[in-house]
Amino acid sequence: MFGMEFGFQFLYWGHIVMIVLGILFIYLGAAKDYEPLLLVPIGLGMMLVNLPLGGLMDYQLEYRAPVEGIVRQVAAPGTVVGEGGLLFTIERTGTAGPETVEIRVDVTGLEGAKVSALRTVGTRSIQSGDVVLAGDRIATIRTTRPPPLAEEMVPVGLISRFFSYGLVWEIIPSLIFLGLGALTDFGPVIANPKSLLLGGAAQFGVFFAFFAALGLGALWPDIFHFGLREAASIGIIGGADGPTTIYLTQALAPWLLGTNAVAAYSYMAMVPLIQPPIIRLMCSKKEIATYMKPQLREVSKLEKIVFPVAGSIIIILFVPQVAPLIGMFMFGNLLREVGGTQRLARTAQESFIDIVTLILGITVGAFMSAESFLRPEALAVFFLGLIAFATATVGGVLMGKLMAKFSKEPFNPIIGAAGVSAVPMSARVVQRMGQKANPRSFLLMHAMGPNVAGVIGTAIAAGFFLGMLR
Amino acid sequence: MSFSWGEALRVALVGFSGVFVILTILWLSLKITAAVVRRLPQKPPVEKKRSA
Repeated sequence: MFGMEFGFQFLYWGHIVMIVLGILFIYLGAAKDYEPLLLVPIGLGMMLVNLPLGGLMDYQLEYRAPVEGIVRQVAAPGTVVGEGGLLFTIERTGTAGPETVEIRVDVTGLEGAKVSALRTVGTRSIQSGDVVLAGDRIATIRTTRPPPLAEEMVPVGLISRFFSYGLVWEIIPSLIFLGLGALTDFGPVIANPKSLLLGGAAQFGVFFAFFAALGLGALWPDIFHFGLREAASIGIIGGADGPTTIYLTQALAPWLLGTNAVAAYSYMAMVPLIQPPIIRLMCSKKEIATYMKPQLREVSKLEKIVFPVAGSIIIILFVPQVAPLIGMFMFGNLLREVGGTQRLARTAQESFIDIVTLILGITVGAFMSAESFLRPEALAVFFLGLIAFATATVGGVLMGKLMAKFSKEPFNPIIGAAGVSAVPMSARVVQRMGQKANPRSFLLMHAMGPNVAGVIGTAIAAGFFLGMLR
Repeated sequence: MSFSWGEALRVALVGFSGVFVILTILWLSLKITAAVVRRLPQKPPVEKKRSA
């Protein structure tokens, strides 16, 4: 039309569904205040990537002439090609007589890519009869959906570059952990180290969802293509930790990255809706109202400096696969606790983590193209993510009940629910529920221990998955 | 997508128990650090000079 292509010519119902979903995310963040720092960039990214021809998530690959000769056949721009699709043929002229060489798409699993550009000869595109030299670029193919392991495809869209160099290179999740470390106060964990066990128990949800995903994959293998690697990346959603979910999924099942990340962040925003009914179901009113001494012991500066150093040594010696996450987390925390690095800590806590979150949010949203999201697996991931969050809460509260049984002092079992990291959301839920049941109760500091322990526990669980499945 | 349930069970058992093992070691290291810090000589609080 008018000698050019317009986006609306290529719009189909799938794009419209995803654009509406993106706008819904922006609405939830802007009007309902559900994790606006994440939902707004994710929603916008989702909207942008589903506007056809925008090219924000495009990848391309160039094909060059392998030999000198005469071009005999060439696919026109706009031709849809998949794995094995013919791009051009060259008639090689030599002493042994003419020989035709076919150049086909050699990317395994590629579907629906388009020939986007051809070599220009003077003012026109290359055509049959033109002579080319070995190494001349003849055709370029472009797609928004490269297969997960197509490393030869080069990102050319703005967000595909963020994705490749930020997420595939594992930079963004680690940098977010640096900021998180700078924001985290390990004081409650150091004052009450028992809370580490609550963070560990909440990882029950990760492993429960791991089996649930495998069960779905075994029951309906034609619909849900879930093997051990996919199940692990879905299970880790139960850790309620976005960067760890992204880090593990990128390594084990990159085709689930968009859905897993959005499921993790959406459920983190919904922790105040998911956890209270489960806690009420598991604990009596008397248990919820249990009063705990509001003050934890004072933690010295030396202890706060020793913990990130010793913690990173211990964890990385056991699970070196998560060295980038744990290393950055503890580094950020060290900046916070060492007096002379306050300037760096402030930057890590504020502008630095904000910048990285911006890029992460829009990139995760851009992974939600209609083609990759509107599939049965995506619905299954959302269902399994909910199961993961719910069973993680169950695991934490059960451990809380066990610890309450053996504790000499009054112990409120609901602080176990904060082991589902979702920092600081689940700790706030515990605080609100405890105070509602007993206005004298102040559980926030007690809940922050398991909350932080949950972050560490999820990273460790991810390390074990990586160690055994990568 | 094929997998063996035995392998899945191994991954889950090693992973879940591994989380507890490492967190328990961290717990013990915190206890040891706290005990050591408590034995260290405490610095007397610095008195602020009163301005005349």
